[in-house]
Amino acid sequence: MIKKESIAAILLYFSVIFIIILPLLPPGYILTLDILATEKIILPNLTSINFVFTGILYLLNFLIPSYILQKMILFLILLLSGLGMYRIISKEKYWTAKMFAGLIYMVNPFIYERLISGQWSFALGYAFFPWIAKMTTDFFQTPSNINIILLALETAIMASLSSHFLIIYCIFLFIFLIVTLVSGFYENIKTAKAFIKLLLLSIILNLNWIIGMILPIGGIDNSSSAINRGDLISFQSVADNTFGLVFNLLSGYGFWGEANNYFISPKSIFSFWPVITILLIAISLYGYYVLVIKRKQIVLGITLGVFFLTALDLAIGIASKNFEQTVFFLYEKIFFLRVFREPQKLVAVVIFCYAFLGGIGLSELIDKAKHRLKYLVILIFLILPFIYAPPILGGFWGQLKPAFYPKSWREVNTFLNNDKDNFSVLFFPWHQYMRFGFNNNIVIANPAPYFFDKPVISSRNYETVSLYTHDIRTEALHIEGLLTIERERVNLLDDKVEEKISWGQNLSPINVKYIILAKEDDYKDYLFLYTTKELKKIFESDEIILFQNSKWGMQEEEPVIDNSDQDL
Amino acid sequence: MKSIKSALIVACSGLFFLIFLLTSAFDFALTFSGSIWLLFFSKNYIPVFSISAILFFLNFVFDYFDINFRYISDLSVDAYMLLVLGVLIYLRLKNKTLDNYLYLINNDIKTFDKDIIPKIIASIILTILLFPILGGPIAAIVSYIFFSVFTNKNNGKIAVFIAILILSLISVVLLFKNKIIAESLGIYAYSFLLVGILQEVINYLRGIKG
Repeated sequence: MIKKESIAAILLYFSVIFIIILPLLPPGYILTLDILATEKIILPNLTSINFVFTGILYLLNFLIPSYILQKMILFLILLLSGLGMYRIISKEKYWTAKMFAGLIYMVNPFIYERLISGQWSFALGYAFFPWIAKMTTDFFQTPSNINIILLALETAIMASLSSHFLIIYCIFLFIFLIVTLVSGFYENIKTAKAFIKLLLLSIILNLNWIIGMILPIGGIDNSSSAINRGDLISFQSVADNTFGLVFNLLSGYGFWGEANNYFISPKSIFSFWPVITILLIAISLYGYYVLVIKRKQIVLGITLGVFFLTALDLAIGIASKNFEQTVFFLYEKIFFLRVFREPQKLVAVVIFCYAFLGGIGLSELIDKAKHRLKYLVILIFLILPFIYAPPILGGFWGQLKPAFYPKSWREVNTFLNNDKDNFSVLFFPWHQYMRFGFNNNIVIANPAPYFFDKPVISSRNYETVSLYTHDIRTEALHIEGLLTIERERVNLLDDKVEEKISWGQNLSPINVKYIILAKEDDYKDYLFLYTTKELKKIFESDEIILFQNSKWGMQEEEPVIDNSDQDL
Repeated sequence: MKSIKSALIVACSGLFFLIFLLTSAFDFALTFSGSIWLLFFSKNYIPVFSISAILFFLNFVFDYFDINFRYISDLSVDAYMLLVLGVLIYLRLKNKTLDNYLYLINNDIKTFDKDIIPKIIASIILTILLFPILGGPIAAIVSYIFFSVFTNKNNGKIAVFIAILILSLISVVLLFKNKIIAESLGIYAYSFLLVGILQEVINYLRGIKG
């Protein structure tokens, strides 16, 4: 039977969630940085790690529009975060302490920055982590068959939600196992046997993507294998100008997006944020003291300590000059670390520790505080999350607004679908990330390849100083070369090219029949398309232009190389 | 005594693999880790001097004929190291200096007790974990303080002993003419000396009060 206080907690969390998402509820997609939401949800390969979760969304999409599913996911992220954290310390004496744990896990600068950056899959893993962590502690305390099955199931769910959090969870599980076995608090042989059973069952439940990873035809994002030093430099954690790197990370900040001003920083709204960080660290340290010294939960205490420090070390990454070469070495040797191209993601563990230990510390503090002081302590800590990350409220401080794709985009899509030929469509401007007018001019990943039904060739370039691209598609390199010649009159090898490009003829070998030019960002740099004879404008609106390549389908003569004077 | 030997075997093996991994110099890894073992347990310095002389000769031959082996770096360094080791063993056997020092430490704290090994390992792990956050010297000092609290002993001699070990390591590093590492090791040695002295001062003041 659900207790009254649990119902009260759920109601309170619901209220907070509605304050956050209410402005986002009107119909329309939430498009922000990395989110690629379109009308249809594409079913991934069976060997893809997120097959189960995306498969469920794919099925639901037959009944519910994807923009509603999107909002349901956001709701779920916030609710699971709060309730999960509340549940993990449910044995604490004071309801307010449990509420605080849930609230600080749900509302903090870290999750705000990740949500506004559109990393909702990662955020789902974050929200699910307290649930799986609770199950793990139960498993080590009682390694029964039912706990093994439940934990294996939760591991499969975690894998499907977020590959990043799967790795974070594996680190947690590994540390917990080692500490448990070394400390000898529990029966080692029983624990080891149960762990092997858990491992086998988890492998069976995750077999689809494990096979994909081994072959490799899917599995954990294969692009991680292409990650190099340029990625680590581009996406390294950033320091605060005044308080430095470590304090910035300890405060839940340090995301590379902060440096690019992609969103309003909570720091700019509440300038006394370091005070809150100090308060959080203090209450968490007190909680740690209570956990280890007073309650003698040594195994959990050591596990959390090592987990926290490991995560913070990795989050610091190459941003620490002392540690830089070691990090490069570790990323080179340990393949799964490459998933953390942005190491700041590991700050999630810091927030988890604050919420868990802070909740315990606060419960003890309330217990010790005298009458009036008790209320003051409760008030301060319940308000604290909202002062810490105010821009998460009110639809992310009004930064996100639901938007639909323009009508003209749909018209172009219908037109292309009516053409039954087998062709590709080239999308300009040639950027992966840009501002779209229909989405309130927020920088987002180009949704065109997902929006249009026909195959779309669009840019996958990062365009940062230390990392331009990972794109090795032949057709993309071809476009890249043509654009360089058009703009700079040199090819990719830096040779001068005097003659004008025949776009139609050059696009024909890569099967481009149509070119879409969205009137966004630097589209005026592509107006040369108008003057190209082989390209015929067949549609234009305020948002988009469609050109047809009249040279498409015409066979080009094979170049003849005269090598008669060469010895074979 | 058995636990000391086991602990040293583990430490030397670990050190061997670590040095080999970092430097790819099999000879240096073997000489360095082996020297630590011999420093404590060798009862004869003559073989050490002899091997040192042989290595000097071999180094001369290899240099002269320009012979290179994979994973063998510079035999002259090994020869120097063994020469220093021979001197140290000689001093230990004649003056019992090192033994006396170890005895002093042992007297105050059972350094090589069975229970102490996990605590040493825990302190080393803590140092590694704190290194990126606090920087090397502070991480090492914090872990040392953790070790002191954990073992419930406030013994400055251990810190001084670590400082002396680091100082001897500096001489080896200087053989490689690596001034940057030598300088940073100097900071570690200084920090440990400072902490050791502070601990002794605290003990002295406690003694007066007592």
